[in-house]
Amino acid sequence: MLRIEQVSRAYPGGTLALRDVSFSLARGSFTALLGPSGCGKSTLLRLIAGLDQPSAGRLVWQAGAPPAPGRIGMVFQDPVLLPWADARANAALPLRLLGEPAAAADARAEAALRRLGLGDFLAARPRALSGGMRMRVALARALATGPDLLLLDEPFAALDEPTRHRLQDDLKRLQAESRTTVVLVTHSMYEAAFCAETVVLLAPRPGRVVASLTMAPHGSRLDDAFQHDVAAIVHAFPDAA
Amino acid sequence: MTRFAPALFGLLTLLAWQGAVWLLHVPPYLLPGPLGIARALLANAGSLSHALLATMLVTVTALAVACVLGIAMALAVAASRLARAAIEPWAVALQVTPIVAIAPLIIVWVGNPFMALVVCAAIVAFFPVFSNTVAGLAAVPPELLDLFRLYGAGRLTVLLRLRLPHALPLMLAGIRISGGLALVGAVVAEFVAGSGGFASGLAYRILEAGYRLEIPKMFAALVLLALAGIAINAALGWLARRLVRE
Repeated sequence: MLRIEQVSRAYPGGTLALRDVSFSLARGSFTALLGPSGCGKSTLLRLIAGLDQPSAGRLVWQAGAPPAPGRIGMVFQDPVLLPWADARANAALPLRLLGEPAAAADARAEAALRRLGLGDFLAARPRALSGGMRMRVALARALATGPDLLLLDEPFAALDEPTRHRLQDDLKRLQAESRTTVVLVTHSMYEAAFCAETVVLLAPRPGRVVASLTMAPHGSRLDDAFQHDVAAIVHAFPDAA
Repeated sequence: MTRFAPALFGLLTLLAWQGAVWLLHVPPYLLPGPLGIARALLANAGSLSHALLATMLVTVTALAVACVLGIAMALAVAASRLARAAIEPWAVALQVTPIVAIAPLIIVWVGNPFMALVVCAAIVAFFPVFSNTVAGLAAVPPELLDLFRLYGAGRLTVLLRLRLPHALPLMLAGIRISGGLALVGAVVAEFVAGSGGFASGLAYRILEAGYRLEIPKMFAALVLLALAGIAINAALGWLARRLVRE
């Protein structure tokens, strides 16, 4: 779907956030970008989203051009919902911005919210929802347009452990059902090993690719294969441990 | 109990005030008691209510002018760095200029007494609505701006569907402060205009009662001013609660 070739990103003042980063995203794949703070994970995600431009290198889209608006969904570490809008209106926001009529947008937003278990909270405002539920609304908002590519920027970092596990399970299920291409930025090697098929390890200052590992499919966090994959990450990248 | 606390405290204060005036035989030209003020209020109901209406008309018009100008200039400041650099220092200069010092000039320059009072009150009321709207427009989380960009939203869409709704609570808080200041500005301007012989509003009635040593009437006008301030604050608070639904 996308080939990232020798991408660097320097900021005014000379700070180099990324240096010569290269890897590929296959259509329908689940990739985790794993690394400590300051390794340029979020910068890389913004470059893929088209919200920023590389200083050097290029992004080669298989389709020949970057996806049209609505074909990329994005979730941030903070759910950043509109506080004055209910869950339905928040999830429908991308569709409304793309010009879809209100009734059709609401129906698709409702379907996305129901898939994430929020059928009983369609009219709830963000203030009335828990942190996990707010993140589900943000996920529903990103999925409502039926994107080809879903970019997740440490979406579960601020959540408690049980909620994080439930959302990771939901994310894996939804990705398996829809075969949407997913890029998950995380600093948790457990999250990366459990969710992703490929883990790209990044080292900091400047951000660069250290290794790319293929994970085995895991049904549970108690699988031996999961423990083996975590160990593989630790061996490849001791800083992540 | 908390709900009735303001009324209870007010009642106790009035009782203590009236009691002190009776017991100490304070003459009404020095300090009238609440009963004397109430009698003056009833005796001068006609002239005081006309004056109240005049002051409120100036206040409400000035608040409307301050809101329109404050929000329009805040939008310009949010949209352009050049506009920010050009407008902000003048807005601060306007805020720190004592209205009582420039009111006589404004009254001479504008000519029309009502418009002159509105200009003075609007200058006093302008800054809170302007600065709060600027702050609200700038406080949008960058992730939300990214999200709108991701879905191809233009500047106008970002303004109408994100920045303005996001700024609304702060903007309304600014308007609430401006409401009280518009009343203060109107009263100051009426004092200056009243000193020059233009009869209008409660401030003029206060001035007139002072000259005639009708101190209870003076206090009655002050009571009406306080009630007007409370009413403006309550009305703008109610409006904010209606519009901000979080």
